[in-house]
Amino acid sequence: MLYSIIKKEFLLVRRDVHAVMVLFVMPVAFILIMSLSLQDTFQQEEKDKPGVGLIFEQDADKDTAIGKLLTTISGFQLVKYINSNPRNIIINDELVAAILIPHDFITGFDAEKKSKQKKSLTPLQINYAPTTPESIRKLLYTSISLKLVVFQAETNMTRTKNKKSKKSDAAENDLIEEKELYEQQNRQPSSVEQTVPAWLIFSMFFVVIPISTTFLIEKQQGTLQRLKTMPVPGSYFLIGKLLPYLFINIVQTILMFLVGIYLLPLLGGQALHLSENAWLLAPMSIAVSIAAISFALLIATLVRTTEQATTIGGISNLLFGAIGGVMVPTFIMPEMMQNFARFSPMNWGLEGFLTIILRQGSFTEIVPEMVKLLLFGLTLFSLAIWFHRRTVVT
Amino acid sequence: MLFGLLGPNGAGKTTLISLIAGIQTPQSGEITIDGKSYSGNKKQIFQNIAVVPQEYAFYGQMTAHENLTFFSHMYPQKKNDYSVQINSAIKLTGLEEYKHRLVKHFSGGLKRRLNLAIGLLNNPELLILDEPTTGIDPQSRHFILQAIKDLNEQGTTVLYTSHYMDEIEQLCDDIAIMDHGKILVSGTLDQLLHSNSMIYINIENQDCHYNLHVDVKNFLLRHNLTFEDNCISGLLDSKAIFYELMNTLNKHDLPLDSIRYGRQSLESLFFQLTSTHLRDV
Repeated sequence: MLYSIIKKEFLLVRRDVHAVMVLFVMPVAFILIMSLSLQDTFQQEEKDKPGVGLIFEQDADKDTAIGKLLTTISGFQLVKYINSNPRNIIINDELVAAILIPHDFITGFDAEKKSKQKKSLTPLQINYAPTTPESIRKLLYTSISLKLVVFQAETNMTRTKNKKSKKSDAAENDLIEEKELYEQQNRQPSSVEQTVPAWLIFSMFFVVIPISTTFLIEKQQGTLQRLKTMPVPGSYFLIGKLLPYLFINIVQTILMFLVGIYLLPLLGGQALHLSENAWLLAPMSIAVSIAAISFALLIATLVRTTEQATTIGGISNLLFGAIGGVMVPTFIMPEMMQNFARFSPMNWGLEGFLTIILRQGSFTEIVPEMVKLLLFGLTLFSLAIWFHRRTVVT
Repeated sequence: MLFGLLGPNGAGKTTLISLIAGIQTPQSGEITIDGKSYSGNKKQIFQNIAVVPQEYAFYGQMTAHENLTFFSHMYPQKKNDYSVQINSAIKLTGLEEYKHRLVKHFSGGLKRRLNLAIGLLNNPELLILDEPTTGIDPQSRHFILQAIKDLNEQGTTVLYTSHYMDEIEQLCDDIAIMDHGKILVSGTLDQLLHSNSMIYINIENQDCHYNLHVDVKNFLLRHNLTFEDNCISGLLDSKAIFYELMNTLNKHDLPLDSIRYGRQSLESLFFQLTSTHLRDV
């Protein structure tokens, strides 16, 4: 009996492909558009950083240890020049500053390193463009100072190390190592890490449209009335709808992650990277799907017209999405809105997915979000059965 | 038994059918099917009854065979019985050559036949048909009516509602006429059409208005008969009153134009009980 209901639902879905296509086309389009549009916003690109010129007096100076170190100043787009005029390059290349690095400074630092004695150096000269804001000036000054302090500290440490063992210059440079802490809990997602799970969840909740539409057709055509005169439990009718749409949601999940991993980089966007905990996406997507379908079934049992279904279902989804961090990522929301976001089931799903993708979370770490989604789903599904049993079609 | 249920729009026919079919629960009283009440016996009753609603209650995106397969599996029975029941329903409704076509491409007549076929899948002892011939061509209508007659002859009890009086007269042995949620009359068709017979006597219209003799006037008054537009009309309780009326008219030499009395049509009985004003709700 249940098998026949599931089979019927699959047949209806298969024969009305257009209604279901929206569930696949919409999120793919959103993921592509949003990922490509927002990747510069989520992760500032080199081209958007303020430009700073590094003017070496001699070509060889830029290959020295201190010369290389200065080219690693972060937060700026660094352009190397040899013996150029600071004023000209600032005007011509629209730079915020030009750092004049005297040959004497390079050799002095190098000599100090070898002789282990302090020498007076010709200082670096930072030439600012008149329009450069004070904040940028301070940032640049601090960044250079920091690099020089690190270099000096490194030199001192090398001296100590050299007493014990000799190492190459390359090995010494390893002392300055910038490592991104991948496990960092508060790392912000990239555009693709945000958009793929966000729009996937949004589209999973959009099953409310085909589910409520087919349900209403059955109600209006009298099919539901006919089924109520047959010895079939009302819950079977709803379970029969749950399983095919669970399958559709799983296909959506696979498709959207494939888009993030393979299609986005082909179009010039960042690729989505999954690690060995990717299998957790399966239980997480099932939990989101059960919540989404149960919500759709409740709407379907409550509404009386297709207009009501599309309006109530559509607006609810937009609200869940807007509150839950789908449209506006929660990390850029003010604290009050971030607290508010925790009431949206889409946010529970999104946090669960981000725990897997971004924070390399384990199963126990996604359990709280899964429990919330499953409880939400179970409550709404029970309500849907109750309303379905009470529905009298005349 | 082939029982016809008649009533204008809004009379409560569909509600009554919903109550009989177990879709709705009565606010008071009890419905029993074959001596069994719905409480505690719902599954057993559902196994033995079938409702064919007014609407095309099936799936347009599926073929006729897929629809029949789906609905047949809503009744628990042995695996082999499903195909036997499906084939029997297809044969009885003449859907053999259309069974693998998508239903959304069916004509109105074919859809009505499929609607009926679905109602036969559990081989019901009681078949409830709610206006099963609405909006179809005479050929399909004839086919469906014949199929219903055959089913009834094979032992299926049929409860039939329709707005077509001729269908009811043609099919049903027993009828009930209801309005405002109440059964107004019920009984065999013959009983209802012969009893409470109306009489219509038209007087030759020589003058604008014929002036009745006082004896005639008194007779009409005594038996609740009316005289309007040169026509005497009303219900006669017995044939004796009819003969008495004829004698009175004869005694006073009333020039008669026409007399109508005896078995009335179902339509006139229907209008007599439910009046002729529009009932659309």
